[in-house]
Amino acid sequence: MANTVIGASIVIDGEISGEEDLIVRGTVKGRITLRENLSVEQGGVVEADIETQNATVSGQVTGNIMASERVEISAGGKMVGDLKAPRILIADGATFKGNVDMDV
Amino acid sequence: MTSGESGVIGRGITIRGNVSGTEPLIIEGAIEGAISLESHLTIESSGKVAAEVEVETLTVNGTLEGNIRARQMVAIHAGASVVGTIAVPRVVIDEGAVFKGSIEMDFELPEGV
Repeated sequence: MANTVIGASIVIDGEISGEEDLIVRGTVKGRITLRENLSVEQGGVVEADIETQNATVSGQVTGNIMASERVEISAGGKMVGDLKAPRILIADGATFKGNVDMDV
Repeated sequence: MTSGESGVIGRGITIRGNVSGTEPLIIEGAIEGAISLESHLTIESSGKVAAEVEVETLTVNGTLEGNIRARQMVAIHAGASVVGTIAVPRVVIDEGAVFKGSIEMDFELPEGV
């Protein structure tokens, strides 16, 4: 199944919603609402409030993430904002500033 | 994958807002707003776009509503449905395509015409 890939040179200013996996290598500003997995890869910049099932951050996220399952900030990932999810993983080498709320 | 990096907006995805960039983009999902690309845009048969479109080249197999400005070429293939205005030097409309609107090919008129 073809995932959605926001390529490195792509800038989206607005709202993304959907029911399939989303990979961000470019820039998204606004809001992301997904029922599947969001992956912000290295080089990806997201300035948005995010509502998703799973989120993996290897790039930069500014905004709040609310995940129904799991959030992972990988090594090299930078996140500024609040996290709300039942399972949260912050890897060694990740940068994070914000509140964590696992009580969903 | 075609040449170089190519982004895909999958069929389960809806974007409301502005999309811009310099790399090719394939749309299988839905976009409402504006698209500005310095490259090739492909709207696949499942794709639904209601947007102001400004691109280098455009291929439509799906549904497009809006004003289109392409710097090189627009191709509307069989099965596609396009409503709007097109400003471009080269246009191809295949048999089986549906188009409603105006086309303006901005070529240089010969001297004295």
